Amino acid sequence: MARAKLESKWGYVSPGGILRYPEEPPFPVKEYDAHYDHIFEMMEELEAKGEILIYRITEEHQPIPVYTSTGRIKLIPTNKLWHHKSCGQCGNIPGYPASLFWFMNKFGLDYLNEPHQTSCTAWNYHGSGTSNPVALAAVWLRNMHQAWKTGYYPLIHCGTSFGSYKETREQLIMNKELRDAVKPILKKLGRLTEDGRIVIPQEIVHYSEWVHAMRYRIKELYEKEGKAKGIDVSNVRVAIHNACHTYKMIADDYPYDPEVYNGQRPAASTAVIKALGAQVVDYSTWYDCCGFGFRHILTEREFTRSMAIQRKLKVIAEEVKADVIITHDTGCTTTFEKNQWIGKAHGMYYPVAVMSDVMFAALACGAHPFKVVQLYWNCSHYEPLLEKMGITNWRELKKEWEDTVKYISELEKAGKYDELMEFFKEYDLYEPYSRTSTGKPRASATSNMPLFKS
Amino acid sequence: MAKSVLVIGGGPAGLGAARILGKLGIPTILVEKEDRLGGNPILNHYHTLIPRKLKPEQVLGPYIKEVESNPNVQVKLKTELTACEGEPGSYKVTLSNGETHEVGAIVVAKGFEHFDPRRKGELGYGLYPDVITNLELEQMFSREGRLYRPSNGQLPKRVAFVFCVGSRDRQLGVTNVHCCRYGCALSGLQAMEIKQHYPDVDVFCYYMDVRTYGTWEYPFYWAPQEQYGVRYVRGRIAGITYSPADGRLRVKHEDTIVQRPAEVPMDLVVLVLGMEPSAGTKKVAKILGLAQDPDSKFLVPSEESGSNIISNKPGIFIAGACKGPIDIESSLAEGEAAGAEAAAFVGAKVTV
Amino acid sequence: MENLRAKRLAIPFNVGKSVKTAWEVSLETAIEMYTIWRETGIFKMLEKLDPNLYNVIMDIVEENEKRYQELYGEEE
Repeated sequence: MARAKLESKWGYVSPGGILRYPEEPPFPVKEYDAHYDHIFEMMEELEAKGEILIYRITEEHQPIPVYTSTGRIKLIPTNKLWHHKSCGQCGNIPGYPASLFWFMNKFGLDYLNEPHQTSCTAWNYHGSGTSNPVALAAVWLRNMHQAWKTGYYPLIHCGTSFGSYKETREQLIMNKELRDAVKPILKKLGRLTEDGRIVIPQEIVHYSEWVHAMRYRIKELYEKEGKAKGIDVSNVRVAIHNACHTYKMIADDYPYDPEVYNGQRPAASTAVIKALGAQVVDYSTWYDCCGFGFRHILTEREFTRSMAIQRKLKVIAEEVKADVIITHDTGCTTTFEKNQWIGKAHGMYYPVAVMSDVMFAALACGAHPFKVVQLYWNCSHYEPLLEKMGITNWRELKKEWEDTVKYISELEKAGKYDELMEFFKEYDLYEPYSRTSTGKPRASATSNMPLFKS
Repeated sequence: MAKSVLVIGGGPAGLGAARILGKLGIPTILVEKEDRLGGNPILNHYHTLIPRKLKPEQVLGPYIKEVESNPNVQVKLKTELTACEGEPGSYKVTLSNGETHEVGAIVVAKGFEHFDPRRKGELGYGLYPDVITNLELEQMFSREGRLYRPSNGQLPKRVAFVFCVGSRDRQLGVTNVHCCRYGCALSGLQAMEIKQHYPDVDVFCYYMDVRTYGTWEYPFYWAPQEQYGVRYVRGRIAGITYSPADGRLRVKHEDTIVQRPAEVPMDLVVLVLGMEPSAGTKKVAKILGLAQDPDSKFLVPSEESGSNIISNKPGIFIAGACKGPIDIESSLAEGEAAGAEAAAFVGAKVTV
Repeated sequence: MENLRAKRLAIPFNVGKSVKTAWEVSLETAIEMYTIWRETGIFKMLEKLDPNLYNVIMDIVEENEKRYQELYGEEE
C-alpha cells in the first residue's frame, strides 16, 4: 500500500481522504493496513468510476476521530444525525433511544427522527435465514439514500443492524454481481441519485461509538448537573458487556483506545463509564456472548438460558458483585434481564441491574429515570442501583410518572386529542412533524393510531 | 573489485560469516547495533538452546572470541548501516559512526524480532501479570534460576503453554501466517525443565500441530510426555481472563479431541511467540534494495538461484533469521555458507 | 400489561408511541419495504416455507397497498 504523506499530522491518507492512519500506531495494532480497511480505498475507486456516491462526513457533522483495532482513524459524526432506530429498542426498551435524544437535546445538537425508516431486516442476525443478500443490501441502501436525501448522517442504534450493515457493505463493495442485482430494485423505488448511483455512507456508525466520542462532554454534564442533584457514581461497580454483533462482526471496524485496556479490548462503553468515574470491574467471562447467540435464542433456547445464567449472570453477580451490567445492544439487555427471572424460577437467582451505557449515563447526568430513561420497561432490579447512585427520590419520580400515564390515558379515553397534542408538545423530547423530511404528517402503516390518522 | 566484505549483524549468522571470512584471511567489517556481539541468544539471556541443550555461551562464546581476536575482522559495535551506493564488487557503504568503506560483498544477517503479543488482545498479555512470554520464562530461568508467578512470587501449581502466538494466524491479517519453527521444540524443552526442577507442577501445552522436525521428534515431543508427564491438549485458545474469586487465570479453549469447549484455571500462562523480521532487517532491505516477501516482509533469496542465501542483488548474501524463522545451529551454518560465498565473490583464492 | 397503550403514549418521542409496531412507520416506507421483498423473492420464500403465515402477511400487505393507492394514487 503506498504511504503518501499528504498531510503532516497523518501517517497515511488515501487519495479520497477516507482511509487514514496516524504516524505511529496508537497501541499494538492487529495489522497496520489490514484487509478490511482496503474496503475504503475500493469505495473511493468505485466512486471515481461513477458506480457509487460516498455520503461524506463534513465539518457540519462535527466529527470526532477515534481509532479502530488496526489503528485506522474513524470519524464519528456527532451533529446532524439521522436516527436509524432499532426494532428491539423502540419496541422493548424505549428508554434507550429516549436517553440518546435527551443527550442530543442537552448538547444542542440537530437531529432527525422520522417515520420514513425501515427495519434493517436482520431480525437479531437471522437475516441470513429470513432474508437474502440482495434484499438486505437493498434495504440498507434504501435507508442510506433516505438519510442522504434529508441531509442528516445516519446513526445506527442497534448493534445487530450495525454488524449486519458492515457485512453488507463488504459484500456490496467487493461483489459487482450484488451491486448489479440491487440497482434495478432501487431504481424502481426511486432510491438512486440523479445519475443512477447508489449512496453509501463514508462510515457506518453505531450509537455506542457516538457515546464513546462524546464521553468527555457527557462527563462535563454529569459534573455540572448530575452531581448538583446529589448523584454520585463513584462507588457503583459496573460490569461491562460488549455485544458480539458490534465488535466481533467485522472486528476491524470498532473503536479501540490506548487508554482503555491499552487497545486490547474494544473501548466503547468501557471508556464512557470510566470517564464518569464509576468502577469498571473485570470478570473472567468478559469475552463470552450474553447467550442470545444470533439464532440460538430461538432454536436452542436452553443453551441460551444456561449460557446467560451460568456463564454471565452468576459470574458477574458472584465473582465481582457488580451493581449493574452495562450493555449496548438490545438483545444483550433483554437476555440478561429475562434470564434473571428464568433463573429465579429454577432456584438460580442472580439479581443485577441491566441497562445500556447511554441509559446509565443519562441517569448519572440527572435525566428523569422514568420519563426519559423509561426504566419502567426494565424487569431487572434497578432500584438498588438508583439508591446507590444517589437517586433516592425515585419513588416520588415513579409516582409522578404513573400520574402522567393516568392523565394521558384519561385524555385519550375522553377523546380530547387536541389537548393531548398540546401536552405532548411540552412533554416530548422531539417535536413531531416539523422536522420530518416531508414536513407534514403522512399516513401510517398501522392505521389505528388516532394521532397519525391522515 | 574491492577485496573486503561487510557483515551486517553480530548474531549467530553474522558471527558465522565473520568467523569464516576472518579465517580465510579476508578483510571483514562486522557491524553490530548493540554494545556487544551475540545477537538475541546473548542479549536476551537465553537459558538453554534447542536441539542439543547447550548454553548460549557454549555455542556462541567460541565464535565471539574468534571473531574478536582475528586481526582480519574489524568489529564495530553500536554501529549501523546508513547508506549504500555503487555496484556489485565495489559497494560504497556509509556507517552511522560517519565512516565510509568500499567493500566487494555484503552479508546481511540482521535477524528477527518476536511478535508483540499485545496485538492479540484477548490473550491478556500486559493486562494480567501472570501471562508471560516464552522469552520471559527463559529469562526467569537464566537470570533468577527459579519459576514463579509474577503476581505473587509463588510457585504456580499449573502452567499452560499457548503455542502459535503470532504464528500461523490469519486472523492477524497477512503478516503472521508463517510458522515460527522453533516454538514446539523449545516449549517441549522448557516444559521438561519445569518438570525436572518442580515435579509437582502440572504443565499443559495447547497446540495445533506439534512441529518437532526431523531428529527433534523424540527429545521434544515424546520425551516431555512419556518421561515427564507434560500434558498436550490439541486446541486453540479463545481468550485468557482473570477470576478475582481465586486469583487464577482462566484459559478458554476448545479441546478438539474430546470435541467440546473448555475453560481451565491456570496459575501461569506462557505465550510461545512467533518470529518476525526485525526493524533492522526491514531498514537494511530498503537501503540495499533487497527483495522481501510482500506479506511477512522477510528477505527472500534470488529467483534464479537454488541456494537460499543468495539475494536478488549480486554480491549481497542473506543468512539467518532475516530470511525466515530458523534455529540457532542452522543460522550459524547459513552464516558460514554466506561468508564462503562472499569470499568467493570477492575473488579470494585460498592456497592450501 | 395493563394500559399498554397509555404507557406507549408516555414514551417521549412521537414515533415511539406506536403500539402495533416498534416505531411509527409511514405508509409509503412500508410500501417500499414490500416492493423490496417482492422483487428479491422474500415473499416467494415465505410462501414455500410457511403458507399460513404467508397468507396472514399478504393480507396486511394488500390492505396497505390498497390504502396507499387510495391516498396517494392521485399524487403520482
